[in-house]
Amino acid sequence: MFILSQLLDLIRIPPHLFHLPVHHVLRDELHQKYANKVITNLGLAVAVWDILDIKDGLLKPGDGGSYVEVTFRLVVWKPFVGEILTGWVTDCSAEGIKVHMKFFNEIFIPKAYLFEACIFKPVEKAWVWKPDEDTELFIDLNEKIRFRVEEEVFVSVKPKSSTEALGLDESVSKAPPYALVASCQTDGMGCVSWWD
Amino acid sequence: MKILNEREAFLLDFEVLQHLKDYKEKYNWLFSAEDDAKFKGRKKRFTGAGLGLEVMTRDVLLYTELRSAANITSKLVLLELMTYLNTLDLMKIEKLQIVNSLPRSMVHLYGLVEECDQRFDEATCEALLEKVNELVPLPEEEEAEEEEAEAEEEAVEEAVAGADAAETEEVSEEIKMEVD
Repeated sequence: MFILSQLLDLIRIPPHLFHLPVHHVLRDELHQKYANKVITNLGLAVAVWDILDIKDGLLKPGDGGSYVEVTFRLVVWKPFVGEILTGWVTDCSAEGIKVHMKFFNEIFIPKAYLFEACIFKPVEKAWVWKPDEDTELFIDLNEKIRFRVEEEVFVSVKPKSSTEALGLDESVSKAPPYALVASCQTDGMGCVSWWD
Repeated sequence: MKILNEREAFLLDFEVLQHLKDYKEKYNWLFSAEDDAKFKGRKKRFTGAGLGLEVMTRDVLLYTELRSAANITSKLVLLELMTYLNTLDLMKIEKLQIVNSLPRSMVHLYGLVEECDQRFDEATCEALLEKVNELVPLPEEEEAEEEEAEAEEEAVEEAVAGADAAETEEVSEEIKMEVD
């Protein structure tokens, strides 16, 4: 689900863009800064919706750019707990299923959140749901799957030390900044094709 | 950066789709072979907004177009659907989810609406599903695919995988004609 968030930020306009209308430049600068980025504890920023207020530019000694305080609204993707979404299976492992939604890839369904009668078949690398003795329903790769959002996990991925910030050190943890934990336990969840 | 208001409003997939389509139009972005064919000889694309927005727009459009939101053709349809949903005793968030995912089957609806079986009787649910079907009919190609034999379905898939836009159109047209 997409939401609108109101944000305030100080944006630098570089001198070579002074000849353009200020709201065009600000929109582009805001997009450069936010689009396709995760804002911790908020969600995944998609695009600027509109600009509400532009203050006068401020100058800094020794800097040719002007700094403008701007209030704007941002389209943010942030599903709520309990929301039903559809995605595609990217990976099946013994721990669970990874799902992607084209623009967002960090969705994981752990095995504890799958249907009770689900088993993993290592040979086929697929999860199989057995609603009764005779039927076997496969969750294969690239299958369209419906799931319920259970939890959202934000990890701050800011560099821990100055050497890391400069790119000299590899960061230790590679956890994604924003991930979702989902479940497939009630009727209607799982592969979309099962329920049609 | 300061967050003034974390959630000012919810947005429908439809609204986001329209908004991003506007950006795509404005910046002259072409994402697929079909786009290329359609807008041949257009001015060059603008990159001022950065790659982040371009990638995001492409992916979100790809996603929402595969979802139900793309089947809603106009605001009028949306309006009618909303007026109908308002007659029922639904939470705001439930209405939002119904409009976003347009349930076609009972199980899907039960997933979206909490305690659906206790709050609404079966007739109401069926009427709702019927209304959705009536206002936003499924695209014809999908129906065609279901009716066609498997072998031909595979052929279509292969053609799609080949990413040859012209060929795909031809094949789907053939299917349409056969269904007619």
